Amino acid sequence: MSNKGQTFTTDFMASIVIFGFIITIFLTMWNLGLGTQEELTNEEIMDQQATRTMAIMTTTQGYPENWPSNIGTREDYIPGFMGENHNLEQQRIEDYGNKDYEDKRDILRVPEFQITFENEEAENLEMGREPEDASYIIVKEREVTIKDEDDVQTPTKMRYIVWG
Amino acid sequence: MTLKGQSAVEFIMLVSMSLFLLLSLVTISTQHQEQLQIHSSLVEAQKVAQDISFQAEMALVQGDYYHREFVVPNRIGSQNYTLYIVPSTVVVELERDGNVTMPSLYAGNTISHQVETDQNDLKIVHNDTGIHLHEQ
Repeated sequence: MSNKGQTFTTDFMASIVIFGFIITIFLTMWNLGLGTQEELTNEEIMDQQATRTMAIMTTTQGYPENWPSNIGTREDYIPGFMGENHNLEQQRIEDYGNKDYEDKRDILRVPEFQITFENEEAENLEMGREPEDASYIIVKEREVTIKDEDDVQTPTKMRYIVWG
Repeated sequence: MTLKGQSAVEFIMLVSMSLFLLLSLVTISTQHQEQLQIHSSLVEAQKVAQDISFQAEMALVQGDYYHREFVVPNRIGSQNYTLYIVPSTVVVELERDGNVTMPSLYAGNTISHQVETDQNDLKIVHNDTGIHLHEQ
């Protein structure tokens, strides 16, 4: 007659191992299910900000009304190039383009940027810098129409690039 | 008579081990749940900050007499919160879980608004005195 009970047998140890395995699988699946709602990464925040900035630049006149020709700190401006008839005003774009890179960048509230305007006549305009040493690059494109001082309208592809 | 008591001793040991494992599991699970709740609150606060940022930017660029109604959550993660809109930044301050800061193009006057329970229908107005946020 054995002097031990029947609790700590090989069967019992096997059942502990199986139970542990199943509970681990269950907890892993549960965590995966609950943990899918991730915080926005810097890239996603920058992406959403770029989408809003592009929309504001191409669909509003910015703030204040005569913002590109104003002198002020970056916190005084919201960039918007739209003029009458929902076209972008070339004068506003040029006034903005004539500012220093740092001023242009600060108005957009981004660390680095590039804005390009390309049309079929290859009269391209480029502001900012080429992306370099970037861990991510965000590109936003829109088809716009630019109107110059002589009311000539030019279909143009506007590209806004930011990176971090 | 020591042989008779052996099963009872092993049974008590087994129950003790089971209770210890269960307690550990519940403790870890509770901590994990709390972390997830904080995480979930911060994610929701980020979304609210993005929305508020857009509303404030549009109110500013659209000019005087602009107004727009929108809805924000009653509470974020079962806590009250306050909105701060300052130039270049929107902050959502949670009662318990801290702040969420979101970059913004907003360039107007500073606005703060505490969202009260059941008063989450907000209206943003641009008038002569600047941008204002209040309940509808």
